[in-house]
Amino acid sequence: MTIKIADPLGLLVAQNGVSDAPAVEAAAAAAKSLTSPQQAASIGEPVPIVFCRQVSGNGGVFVSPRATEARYENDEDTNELTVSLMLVLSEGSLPTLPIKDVFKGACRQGTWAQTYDRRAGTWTPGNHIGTTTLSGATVWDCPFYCGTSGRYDNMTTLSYVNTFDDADTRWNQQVHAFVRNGMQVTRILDDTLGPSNNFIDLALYLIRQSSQIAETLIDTTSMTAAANFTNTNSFFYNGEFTESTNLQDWLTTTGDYFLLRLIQSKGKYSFKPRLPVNTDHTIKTDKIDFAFTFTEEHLLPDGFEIEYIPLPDRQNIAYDMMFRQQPDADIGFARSTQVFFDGLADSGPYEQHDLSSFCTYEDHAVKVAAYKLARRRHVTHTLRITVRPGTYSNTLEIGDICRVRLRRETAVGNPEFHDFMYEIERIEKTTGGACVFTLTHFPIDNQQRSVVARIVDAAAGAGESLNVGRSDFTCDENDSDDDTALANQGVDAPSFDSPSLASTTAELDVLDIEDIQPIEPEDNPDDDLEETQDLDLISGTYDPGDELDISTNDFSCDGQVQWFRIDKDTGEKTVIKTVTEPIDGNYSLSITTADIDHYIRAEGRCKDPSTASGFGAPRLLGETSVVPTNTRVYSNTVQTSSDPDDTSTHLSYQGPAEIRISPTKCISCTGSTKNCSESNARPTYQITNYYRTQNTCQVSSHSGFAFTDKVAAESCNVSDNWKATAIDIPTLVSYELYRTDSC
Amino acid sequence: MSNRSQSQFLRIFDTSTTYVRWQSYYVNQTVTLNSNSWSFMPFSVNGITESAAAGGQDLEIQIPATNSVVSYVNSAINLSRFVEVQIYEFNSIGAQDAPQSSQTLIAEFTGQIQSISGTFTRLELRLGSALAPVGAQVPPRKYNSYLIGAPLRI
Repeated sequence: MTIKIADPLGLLVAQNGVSDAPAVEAAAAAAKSLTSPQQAASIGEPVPIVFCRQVSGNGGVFVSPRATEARYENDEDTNELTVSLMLVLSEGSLPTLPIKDVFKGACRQGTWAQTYDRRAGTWTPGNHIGTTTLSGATVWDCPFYCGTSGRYDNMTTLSYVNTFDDADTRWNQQVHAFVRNGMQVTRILDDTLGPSNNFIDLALYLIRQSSQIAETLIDTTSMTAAANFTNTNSFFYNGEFTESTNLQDWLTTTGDYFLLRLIQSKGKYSFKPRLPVNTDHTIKTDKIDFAFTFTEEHLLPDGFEIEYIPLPDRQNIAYDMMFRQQPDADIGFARSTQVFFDGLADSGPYEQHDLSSFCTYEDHAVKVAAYKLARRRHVTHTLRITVRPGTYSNTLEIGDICRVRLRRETAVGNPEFHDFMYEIERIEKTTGGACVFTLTHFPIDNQQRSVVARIVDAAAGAGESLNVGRSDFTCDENDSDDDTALANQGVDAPSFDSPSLASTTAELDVLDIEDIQPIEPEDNPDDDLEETQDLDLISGTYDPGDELDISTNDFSCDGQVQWFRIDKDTGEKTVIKTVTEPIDGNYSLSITTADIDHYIRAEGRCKDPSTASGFGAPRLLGETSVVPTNTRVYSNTVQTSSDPDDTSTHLSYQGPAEIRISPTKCISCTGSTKNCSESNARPTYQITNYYRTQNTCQVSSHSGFAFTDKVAAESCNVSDNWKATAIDIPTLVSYELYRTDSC
Repeated sequence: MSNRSQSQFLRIFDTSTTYVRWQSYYVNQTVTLNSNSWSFMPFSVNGITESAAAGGQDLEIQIPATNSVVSYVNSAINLSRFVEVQIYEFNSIGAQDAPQSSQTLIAEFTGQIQSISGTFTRLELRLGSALAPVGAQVPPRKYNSYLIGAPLRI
């Protein structure tokens, strides 16, 4: 029994983004502590990806890299502590940072170096804290496990060195870097290697690096359109990717914040804008064209299911959108903006969405909120229709806009219509041919313009930058407008105690598939019960009076042979004889006249004490052709008399006959070779006279067909007329005619 | 009035080579479609689903477990080859010995074989992509001993 459970429509409210309240509301991701203790990297943690690109003074990301190596050393006289840290900034190659963009705590301090694909800095890690002559000196409590070096393949690394006075408590503060331009990728929009702030570039990088989706299964055309959409509408990604997460989940949830939906169409993955767009990729706010109109003509019986958005998902709320204000010359910070419909939820309730880990544009956050609010307010229902298949089955895609116009007979002569625009959320093409479209209401105004698109397009933030709140600039030792690039200084691998590849990997030999295929035949022991079947073990002729034999060489087990006669017409099977002891090495049977017009069959059974009869299952040992009534053999008869009626020198016979080319092989009426036991192998040839007249074989004046073999035919030099009526017998050396009548 | 029928075509390929083309409608015939020959193989395909929601977009194919089929699909899953399925609809009152020029492509799906199961005589292939709905895959690189040695411990 198969139980089919349909997807509940209720799920769609969450699936289609009408309601997607976060499960947990917490502090903004960008609200980092500046003076917390320095963090160290751990084996197994994700290598961070800094993905950003500053455009027109906006963008970039403030990161807090983790240390992998450290060196601590104090001065014997002054007890000054020199701290050196080796930090991993990001996976991939990043443009060199300027000195103004690196921080110790909240201050621009220290000596820095940046390099790629190797260890930054030339100092050796270790704890070299020693005694000091300074009276009352602080005992530096520095880590003793300072790390070994590594290979840092395809990573951008930083070296930080700074010296602290005795008793300075800031020695262990976290270091930070403001990265204006992050990891370099080949940008989809201009096919150029460089930093990017396009979400699609990051998505493609993650998809490819994680090998989750094959290149063939990526819809590059749609991806490019999506990249243009985010770029044109200033939905930029400026963030650090550090949290280990599921790729599909990340693509879906983060894509929502770029007003994109991840879709799989025809097996290929792509992103599609959640709003209608113009050809220049701006949000389309004029009349919407719909791809198809479904009417009663397309709908199948019971093919209409509707569900309205439940009350909790339709209440007016305000969205608290968190994003990051990223000043060009200072440390960025998280901030928020509240978005609501005027007069509807001015004081809440609130729902919080955190975009601060990647969003540095207030308008971006506001438009996302506007989209969510507009759908919450104006999308009223979802619909599922089941329609017959058609061309549209393969042309409509997820996100396409379609119209459903169905006539509803509510009163005679006054029909009403269910007439709405919808956005396609799901397409199911069943094996029965029917197509199930799951649709979300697509609200339009009286000019057929998308209500949601108009609200989103008009939404904009206040556009005011908040004061960063910093009141003390005295801790900066490096100039805040110093654009000097960090030194490219480092040590190529192997550096210090960096492990070799051999010491950290275990490579297994790859075997060819052929190497693991079984190449020997089965080696099961011999078993008499598993002897191969042989259907032609009977020897001897089977005219009445003849004897048939089954040799013990052919049937070797201790058992019995049963002889049967089978009626050629009815198939009735009768036991003739059961032979339990071979005589002279044979299980024999004598043919009698009772066997005429029957097949003779032999079956053998080996002894098997486990059965009631004491014998195992019978197996066929052989079967003869029909035992003939009477036989007379004419061998290669070639007549010489010119008189067809001269029976002394002429084959004067007329009647049915078999033509055998061996004891078991016959020639059928079409001239092909058959087993004589087959029904159509015993043709009813009319054997007529033929004679030689003046060295020419001719058909006699008697009715019927003549036959001959090719050897005879050639020797007789038969005429064309004779050939035309002769049956073409395949090449044979000799033939015998078995009379089957009683003449 | 018309009678509608559906024919299904299946192709196993990679970026450079097509390894096999099968169709399941024209019994014991090799037919030509889009200038390519498609030999008969009695497979069947379940429905195709397209969605923006996670999961549920996989496709299942039932196919006889002949030696050649086992060889093709086993190679396909081993070498991450692609399987393309196309479903055409047409009026079955018309010619039945070859694809009709007026037939309509109503569904198509391209994916990789995610799993193979079945019996001695029949295999069930599940097509999709390797995009797993569970498990952490990104960021793709993690710190390991080769990359960072024995790191600092604070």
